[in-house]
Amino acid sequence: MAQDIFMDPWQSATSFAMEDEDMGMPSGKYARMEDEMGENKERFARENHSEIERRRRNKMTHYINELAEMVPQCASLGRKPDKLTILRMAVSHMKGIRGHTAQDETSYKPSFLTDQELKHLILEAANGFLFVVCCQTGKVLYVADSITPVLNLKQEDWLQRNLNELIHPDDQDKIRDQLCGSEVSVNKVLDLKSGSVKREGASTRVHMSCRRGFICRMRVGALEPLHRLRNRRPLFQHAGQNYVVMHCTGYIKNAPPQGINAPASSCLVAIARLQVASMPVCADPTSTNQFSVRVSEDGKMTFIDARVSDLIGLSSDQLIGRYWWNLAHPADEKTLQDSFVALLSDQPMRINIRVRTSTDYIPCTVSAYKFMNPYSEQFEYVVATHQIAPQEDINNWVTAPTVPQPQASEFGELGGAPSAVDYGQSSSGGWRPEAQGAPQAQWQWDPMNGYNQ
Amino acid sequence: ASKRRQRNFKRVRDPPKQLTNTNPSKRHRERLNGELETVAMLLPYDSSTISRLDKLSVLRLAVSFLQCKAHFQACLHNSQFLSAGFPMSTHSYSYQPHPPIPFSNKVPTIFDLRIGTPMLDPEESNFEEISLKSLGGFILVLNDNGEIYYASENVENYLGFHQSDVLHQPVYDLIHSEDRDDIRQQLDSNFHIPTSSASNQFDVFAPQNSKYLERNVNARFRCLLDNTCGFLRIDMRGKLMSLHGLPSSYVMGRTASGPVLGMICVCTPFVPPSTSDLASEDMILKTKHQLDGALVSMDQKVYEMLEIDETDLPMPLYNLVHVEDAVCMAEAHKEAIKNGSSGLLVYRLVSTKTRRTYFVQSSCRMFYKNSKPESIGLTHRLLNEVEGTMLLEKRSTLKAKLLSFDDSFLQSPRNLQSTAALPLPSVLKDDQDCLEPSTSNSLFPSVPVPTPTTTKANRRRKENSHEIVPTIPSIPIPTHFDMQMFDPSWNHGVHPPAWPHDVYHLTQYPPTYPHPPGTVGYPDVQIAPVDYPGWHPNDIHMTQLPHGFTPDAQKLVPPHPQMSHFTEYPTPSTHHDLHHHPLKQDNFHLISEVTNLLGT
Repeated sequence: MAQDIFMDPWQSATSFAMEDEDMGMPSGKYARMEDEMGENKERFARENHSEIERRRRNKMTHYINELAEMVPQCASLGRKPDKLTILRMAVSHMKGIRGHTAQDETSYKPSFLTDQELKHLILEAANGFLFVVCCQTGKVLYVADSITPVLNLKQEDWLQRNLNELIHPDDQDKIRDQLCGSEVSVNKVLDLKSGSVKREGASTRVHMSCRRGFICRMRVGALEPLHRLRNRRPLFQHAGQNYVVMHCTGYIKNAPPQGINAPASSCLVAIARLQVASMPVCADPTSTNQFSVRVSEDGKMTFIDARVSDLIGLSSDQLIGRYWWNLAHPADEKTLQDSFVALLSDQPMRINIRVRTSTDYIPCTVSAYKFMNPYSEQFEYVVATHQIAPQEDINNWVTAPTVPQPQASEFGELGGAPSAVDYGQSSSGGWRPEAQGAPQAQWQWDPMNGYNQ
Repeated sequence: ASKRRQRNFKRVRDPPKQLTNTNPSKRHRERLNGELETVAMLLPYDSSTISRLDKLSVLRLAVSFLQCKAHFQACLHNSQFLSAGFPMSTHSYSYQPHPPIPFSNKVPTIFDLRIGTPMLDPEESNFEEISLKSLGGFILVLNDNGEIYYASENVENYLGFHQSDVLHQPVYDLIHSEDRDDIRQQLDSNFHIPTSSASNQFDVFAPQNSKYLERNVNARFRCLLDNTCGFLRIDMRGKLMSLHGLPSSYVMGRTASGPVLGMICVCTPFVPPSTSDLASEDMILKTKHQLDGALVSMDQKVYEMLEIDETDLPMPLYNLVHVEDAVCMAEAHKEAIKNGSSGLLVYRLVSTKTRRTYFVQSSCRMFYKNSKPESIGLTHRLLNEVEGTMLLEKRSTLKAKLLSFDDSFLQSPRNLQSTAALPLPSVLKDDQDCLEPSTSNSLFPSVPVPTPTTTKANRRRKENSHEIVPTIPSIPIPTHFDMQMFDPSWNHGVHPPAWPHDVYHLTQYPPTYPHPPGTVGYPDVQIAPVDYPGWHPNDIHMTQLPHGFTPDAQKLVPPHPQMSHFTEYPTPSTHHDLHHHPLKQDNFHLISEVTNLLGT
């Protein structure tokens, strides 16, 4: 019976029709058999098999009907044609489609979809388009025409241009990291004053493979009338240009293959997808309003989340090594310090204070907990979360009855901060707003400011 | 269960016989078969693929092909459609028929620096191939009934099913029974509509409401490449889209009115399946820690990543972890102390100097010395920013599924045997070097293992290879499965009570292992001998490590030629043997040991 599986379905359709009848009255015959168990088993197998075959026939009919629906010639007949006619019409319809799509290609690889169709699906599924960039020069070698509905730019706006011109200036370093190969360049530049390694010229990001996935902001054309862009989130502006957040995934294609006469170069091949409302948030300071700080037992900050620079305009380099309460408004310093001491003796902490920004003070809710090593149960550090109050709440904020007008320059002269002097020297930007011109300019905090002197 | 991997493809297509037969019904049958042959030949597959399709599949694929083409005919090649402002208009511009690049529809991927011009690489210029490769996932389109309207060709790289296996099949057959309702819900166009708005008036198709049609869900897909648990958790992100060009009879037969909505999404695995070339071993990093987590030794790459050197050691682990992820790390740490191993965790490591953030997916495992906990090994998979952001976002919502440690799913051997070889602390390492004149350039003690398979040899490749995309020498994948044969109940609305692979039947572990003759592992470690009689690969399925055992032992298991004792998996049918299923290619745990260890 096993070979029946390979039977022609139509043949099996007829033969099993008989067998079904057979199955209706099998008991008398089999009841006499001695080996009842064995027979039951066989009978079960037969029933099972005929059941399978019946489903198979049903399925076949179902598919044929579906096929008839999809073939215009059949649909126009007005009556349901027989199987053979359906198949013949399907053949001629498919021939028409295949002839329509498989025109030129010498290296034609059969595929369900044409490139155009696939491009469209990538656009629909991911709001994405394919592009290729040379890693050495940053030049765009290819961009799909589906860039238009995503960024409202033309192919010509990208082709032969440098990728740096097409992305947000703040993301250029990041892109440079992504374009480099998997080997690490260890030309670290040590800043003798601070003992820290400069970001500029420092080691690049370590990549473990040729796969790439990064998030950056890309320039968009006019914002209307593309409905696709209505869904984008969020919008950045810089120097009169609009930028949207794009998630790029792809790979680095290294040296050209054997047989191609070209010097070694590598390319990033990637699909850029518009970040829409349903996508995870990243590189998006407008969507988050909190930053976290790690505080050691002596009250110094040992780690600060990079979002801090977006939120309060101070970089983590400027803050690490200082006392946590230096972050607070002078009038709140004591509160924070006392809370910290209380926290160390296991009192939970949640207070409202004002924290510094590069130019001002803003209200903020601080909550913190002690983090203990799960094995040794020794104190590791305090984890503190700073939730910046939403703008609309600021007016109702109450901390202290009278608040002296904050002066950002106070911070540089804080008596209690041991590293205050270092700060004044190593980084003037932000901490000394009076030296920086208009406050507006400081808000656009340039991380390189501190290094360039 | 062997049915599941059985296939009933037609091996050889006989040329249609002369229609000289006098039996009219047989003649009719032969004509039908002849037409069916022609339909098969018109399917967009190469001849070897076509020759393996049975008749049912031929019809199924023909329907699928015509439905896809009808959709694009209606929305892509129809100027009327473009201008008419169709509801749910899928795009609002027309493609340029002749792109202004001199490459037609080819994509240049080489840049000649001397003359400054892009060039075509004949091996890598096909739009479809390189876009799917870049996408990091496969495209799936479902119709409103949950049938697979379209799945991109690279679905095979992720699930092991050939495109022709899955097209026009119910997606539920591919999804874990617990996750089917999630998908069903997502297919409902009203799923996301805010309850506050009067549902009658709310027009989900209005352009300003397009966000309510976006979809993001995850589900466990059956995966033939994942050789431990048989499922791959996949993030599906996309939207509902109107499917065009369906016949009126199809549209009439529906109960709901309005456009036929399908879900189109990009499907990305949380962890790439082990045997695909997507998971490359050189993405796996290992570190060794004291019991309190302090870092004592690690792969060279990790030094570079964290910007530390040996003089910084031991380095408190929690100072390297992003402050918001400390609790998550601690949870895994606790679990490792308590149970000997942890599930997966997703977190960020921050380099000490430039404070670069690395997204990492790791699992912990306790190591024992003289029956006492001695050290903790962590294996890490470095994620890129896109993956990391996605998984970090999932961490909060999915915690129970992704990270809970009592989930039997995560107790799969894949996680337990993950830290196969840990870097030794430098002192030990020197000893090790004396003991073993290893030619391996690895930090790890390398156990002399015969390396008969390409997979294994490949695993030893180090990260300094400059390949474009690391490729594991291709293991022939069973390209065609007739899905209906997997489980007779699948196509009939009867859900099997449980997936057979779901539950691991933990076999009893031998209490101790005899010391293997002449093998070198950890200095104080006992390793199972190659021919230990009671030892079966299934024994790896353990929840707790026996004292004194390290996973190095796993490396000693020789590839078994027959795998006849391989009871966890269905005995492949005779057809199947021809295909060298990856499960048979090697002992499954050897494959999973390195590349597969981080999966859920």
